[in-house]
Amino acid sequence: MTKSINLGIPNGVLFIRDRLSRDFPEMEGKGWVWSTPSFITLMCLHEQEGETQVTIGRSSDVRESGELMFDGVLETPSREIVVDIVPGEPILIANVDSEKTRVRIFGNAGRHSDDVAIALS
Amino acid sequence: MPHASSCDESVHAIETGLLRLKWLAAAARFQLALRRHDFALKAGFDPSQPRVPAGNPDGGQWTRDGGGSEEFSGSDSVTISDETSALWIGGEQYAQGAPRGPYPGRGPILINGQWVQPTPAQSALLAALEARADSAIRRVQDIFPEWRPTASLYSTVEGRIARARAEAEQAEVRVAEFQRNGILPGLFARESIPARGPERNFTSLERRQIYEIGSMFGCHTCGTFSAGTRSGYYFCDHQMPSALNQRGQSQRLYPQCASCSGRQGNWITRYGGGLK
Repeated sequence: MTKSINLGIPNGVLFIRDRLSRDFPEMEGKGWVWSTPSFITLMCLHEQEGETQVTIGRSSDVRESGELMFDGVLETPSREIVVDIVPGEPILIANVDSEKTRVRIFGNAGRHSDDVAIALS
Repeated sequence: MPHASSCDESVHAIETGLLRLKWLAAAARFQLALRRHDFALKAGFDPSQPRVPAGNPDGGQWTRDGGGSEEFSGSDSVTISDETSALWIGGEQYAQGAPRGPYPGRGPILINGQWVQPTPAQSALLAALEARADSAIRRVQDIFPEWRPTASLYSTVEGRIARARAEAEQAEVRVAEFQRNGILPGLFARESIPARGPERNFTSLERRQIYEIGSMFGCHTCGTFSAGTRSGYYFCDHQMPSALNQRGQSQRLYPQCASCSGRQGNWITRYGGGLK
C-alpha cells in the first residue's frame, strides 16, 4: 500500500525523518540530498515551478523508476517515518516494522524532480 | 551594414554600462554621506560645541562649556541622584538598574549607583558602539523577539564600552548567520519590489521584475548569477520570510537562487518553524 500527495513544495525542500528526530543535516556544498542517521533533507521541484507528486510506501508497492537519489538506512525508533515540508508541516506518514529502515528515494529529474517516490524496506 | 549595426549596439551597450556604473558610484557616495551624518548624530556630535583654542595643550578638545554635563568634571565619579536622567532613552532596564537605550553621546553614566562622566573619546566610542549594538539586536529580535545578548556586568566606563562591543559582536554574528541562510536580505541584496502580502501566488509581472533584478545583481543571499532553477528564473523570496514574520511587518521580494531557497527552508524549519 502506498500513500501519495500532489502539491507545491515550499522552498523545494522535503524532510524525511523518524517522527521523533530533530537531527537536521547541514546543507553543505552542492547536491540535493543530505542526511543524518535519522533525518533526510531532499531538494525537489520548487513550488514556484509547479507541483510535485510525493509517494511513500513499501518497496514492493512503490514504483521504483527514475534516478536513485538516496539509498541508506534510517534509524526509526518511533516506527513512523514522516515527510514534512517547510516550515514543519507533515504531509505523509508511514508506519514501519523495525527501528532501522532501508530508505530508497527515486526522483525523475534530480533536484528538479516533480515525481518523488520513497520506498521503504 | 550589419557591421555598422553591430558597432552601434556595442557602443550602446558600453554607454549603458557606463551610465549604470556612474549611478552605482553616486548611490554609494550618497549612502556613505548618509551614514557619516547618521554616525555623527548618534555620537552626539554638535558642531557648535566649543573647543579648546589652538595653542593650548588640549587644543581641539571639546570643552565642558556649552555641553550637556557642566556639573561633572573629568572622569571622576560623582553621585548625583538615583533619578532617571533625561539623557536616557528607551524603557528597558540595564542589569545594573540604569534605563536601557543607546548612550546619547554626552552626559554621565550611572555605574554602581554613581554618575560617572566619561571622557569625550569614551563618550563618542560608547555612543557609536551602543547604537551599533542596538541596531543589530533589533534585527535579531525581529526574528527571535526573546533573543538577548549574554548579560554582563561592568564597573567602569571602559567596562561598559567592552560590554557594548561584545553585545554588538554577538548580535552581528547572528545577523550574519541570518543573512547567509536567507533569513534577512543578504549581502548581495540591492533592489527589491514590494510584496502584496505573504501569499506566494506571484504574478507574471512580479516574476519578471524579480528576474530582471536577479539578472542585474544576482541572488540576494549568495550573489550567484546562476539561478539553478528549472526555468532559469530566480525565485521570488519574501523578506522577511513569512514563517518568521510574527509582527506582520511589510515584506519585500528579492531574487533568490534554488540552493539558497532550499537552505532558507531548512533553516526556517529547523530553528523557526517547529516539526510536529
